[in-house]
Amino acid sequence: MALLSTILILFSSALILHSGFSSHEFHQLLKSLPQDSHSYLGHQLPKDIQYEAIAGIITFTIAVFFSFKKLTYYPLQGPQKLITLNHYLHEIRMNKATNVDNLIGNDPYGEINHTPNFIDIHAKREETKRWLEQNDKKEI
Amino acid sequence: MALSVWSVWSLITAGSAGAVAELTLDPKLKYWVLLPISIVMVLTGILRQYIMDLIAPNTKGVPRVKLTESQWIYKAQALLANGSNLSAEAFQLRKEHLIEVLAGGKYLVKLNTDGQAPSPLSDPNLSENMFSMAKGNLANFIPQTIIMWWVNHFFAGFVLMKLPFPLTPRFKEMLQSGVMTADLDVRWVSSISWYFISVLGLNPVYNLLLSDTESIDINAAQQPPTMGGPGEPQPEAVMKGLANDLTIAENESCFDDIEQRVLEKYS
Amino acid sequence: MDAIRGRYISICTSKVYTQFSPEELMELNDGCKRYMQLKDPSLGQAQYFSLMEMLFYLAVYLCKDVEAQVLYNTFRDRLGEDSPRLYGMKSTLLQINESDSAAVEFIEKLIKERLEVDTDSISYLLLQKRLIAIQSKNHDKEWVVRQLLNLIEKFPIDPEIWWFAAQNYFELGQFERAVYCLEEVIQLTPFNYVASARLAEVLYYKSMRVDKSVAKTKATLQNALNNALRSVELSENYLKGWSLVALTSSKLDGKNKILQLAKSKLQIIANGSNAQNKVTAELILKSI
Repeated sequence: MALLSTILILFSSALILHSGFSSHEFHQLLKSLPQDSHSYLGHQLPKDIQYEAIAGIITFTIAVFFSFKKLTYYPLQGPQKLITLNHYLHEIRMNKATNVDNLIGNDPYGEINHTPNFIDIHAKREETKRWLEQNDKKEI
Repeated sequence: MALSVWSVWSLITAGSAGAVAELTLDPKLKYWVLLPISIVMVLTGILRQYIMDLIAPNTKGVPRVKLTESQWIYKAQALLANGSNLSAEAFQLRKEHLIEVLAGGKYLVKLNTDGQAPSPLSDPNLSENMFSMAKGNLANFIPQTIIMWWVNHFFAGFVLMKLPFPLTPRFKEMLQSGVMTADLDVRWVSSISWYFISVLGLNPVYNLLLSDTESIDINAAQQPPTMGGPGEPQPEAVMKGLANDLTIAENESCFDDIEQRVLEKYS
Repeated sequence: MDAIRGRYISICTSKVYTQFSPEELMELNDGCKRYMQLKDPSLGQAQYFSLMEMLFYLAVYLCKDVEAQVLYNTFRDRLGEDSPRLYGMKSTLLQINESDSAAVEFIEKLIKERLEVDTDSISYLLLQKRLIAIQSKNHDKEWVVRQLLNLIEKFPIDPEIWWFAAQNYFELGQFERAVYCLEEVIQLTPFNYVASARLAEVLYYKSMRVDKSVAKTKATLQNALNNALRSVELSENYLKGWSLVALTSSKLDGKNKILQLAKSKLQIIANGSNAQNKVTAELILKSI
């Protein structure tokens, strides 16, 4: 889907740029005609340039819609398996929106609930040292 | 039918402007005038943004007791706003406690000169404010003057482009500064008009280029939220008002019908 | 790439790395460093710095002192020393490089000289919290609670202090006071469904251990049920919330419908959530 959308975006930009350039050339040609002639007043932008521009805009819009991806998340802890939800947009209602948090194990109020400022640094470092010693013993 | 309408319309627009002389301009003008002026203005805008960041004032500090005072006010407001999350007894308990605290003025800061607004020159916070405003204005004013002088000096004496919209003759002396002819339509302008157009229109470009450097004012977010500058409601009055509000507040606990609500929601 | 960035930023903002085991910390450290070297263009500058701060604390937890010092120096050179988080980092470094007392001295000096008179809304609070955390090792829980109450008097709207106070009261066995503190947290962060569930948990423990009369037990259990229902009203698949609903409604009479609803929700969680939740949900279903 993403590849298709990139191709369509490039194609639609080419269409729009080409129609712009054609229109510029058309106006240059128009200026070189004598001013009072009947044909000068009657000339509008040729239809194919108009259709090219409109087609470019429509293709661009479609390509942008194709570029949306389904929402993906990694769980915060545990084995890193990618979780792909089946929808493209985030939920609005809180009880549904927090389902994502529950899936990945995230606490949106973690700055309060995990009390990060009150952590005992030395206890954590002791834990790490013990774990490292155990690991070394296992390797040996 | 459409053709005749179109021809009448173009005749009208051509005729009403009083012979819009179709001047032929050098096509290289746009490369040698429009582009340089635009590039210079974008670059000076970015430079100005960085300089403003460097001379921006630090976050103001307040004595800690003032913070305490304003936080107790917020606490009462929080109870009024979020009290529905509590059970009835809990709400009652807190209501009485807060009424006591607020009415008694326990955390009010004692002012030295009661109720007198300090004069702007002596109060250090206010004068710092004014100084930073002056610095900001100056930083905006100087580049504008310099660029206007530069454009008028180097790009003067010729007609640059034709504006797609008509203007009144009052603009003639401003926008046609180098080429003062009596009959020339106001739509033919000199380079200073491109400067004016850019000044009015380059803000989105700055936003696009500078959005990375966090133009959100983090300083403003960190300002200590205090009350009681000159002209704002004084904390004592606010506290008394809140104590009154609390006395008459009624609690609608969210727990009243919660079982029914949850059953309906999920089954 | 989006998912990876989302994961690191979630870990960073929710500070859940403070609860990780050393193995997970190691993995997080390596993974985050590798990610930041990729220079992801959609990573904003403020987020980049937050991740760097997280790396600093990870280095401190993993006993990588030199790395921590280097990160602190980078911060200091880039942003200057006069900032609340940098004070916090400096006090942490003092704790591990010199001693606790050096850090305590540094903080106390800073507070006394500057911050009583001239502070912003963050610095004073952060440093006081760190001070309590450092000194809590030498004193018992009652002292900690007294200090916390002192700080609460000065800064009543900071939910983190209330939560920590609730934690300490819970460990001391004073359930009623813990309940009061958690209610304050909910008042300050009204949609904090985790706090509601924790409140329900504390009330449940209270009803099990403290309440003597049947009427009191029933009232407490009803309160616990209410809070648990509030937490699931805010979050549909919240495992802890639903398990507390099931537990409390099974102990009260006349709540059959709610009990059935809770069981069906737990079954849904057991069928389709992440691995850890599945196992826990099945265990809970078996025990009710």
